Amino acid sequence: MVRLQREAIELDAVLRLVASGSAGAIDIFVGTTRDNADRRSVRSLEYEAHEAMALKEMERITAEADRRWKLTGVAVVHRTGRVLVGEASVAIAVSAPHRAEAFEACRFIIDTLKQTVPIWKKEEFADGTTEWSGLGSANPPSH
Amino acid sequence: MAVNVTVRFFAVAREWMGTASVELSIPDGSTTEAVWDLLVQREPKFSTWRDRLRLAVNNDYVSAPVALRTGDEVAVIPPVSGG
Repeated sequence: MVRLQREAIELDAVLRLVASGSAGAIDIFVGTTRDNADRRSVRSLEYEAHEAMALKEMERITAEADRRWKLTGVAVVHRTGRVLVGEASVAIAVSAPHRAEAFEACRFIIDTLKQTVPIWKKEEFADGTTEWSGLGSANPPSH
Repeated sequence: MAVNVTVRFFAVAREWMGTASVELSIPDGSTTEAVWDLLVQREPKFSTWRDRLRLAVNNDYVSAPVALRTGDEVAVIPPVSGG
């Protein structure tokens, strides 16, 4: 199950999505929004997604994790829109017969998500300026 | 015959363009290279940052130039920062 939502993430609800009688472990990863970036104070964040493609890419990643670790359940929920500092921006829950598979699959999913899923974070700083993470502040490549 | 495609922009690329999408008409037989060429003409930042931008066609990343057909949707994907 993969989902994008504007509302706050309810972790109990995410855990229920992966509960299974044949699971011996549930691993949950929660990414939260930091109050600083590049030594600057962050007030809030805004997430934008290419929704259709993000869901497709998240499905592809969870299917790959399921194939590799034979999971009994997997759920990925990512916020879009405004997210306040300290809130959960993403939650990944994985259930598996044993904990080793659950840990590995959970890590694989978040690491891959951060590389490939078309979601972008814009930071709003305490001084009112905003910047897209990744490219906004970077200097152009030199050739 | 021309090929008509929709090009969508996200995040910083959307702000460069000042719009979320444009309709482009490119010659029959064109590839994603023709889309790059038109984008660079409209906004020089696409040239500056080309190495860091990825394209997706119909919701799948493409790494090499691919042929486009009318109705295809091309997305310009800046470096992602979800999580």
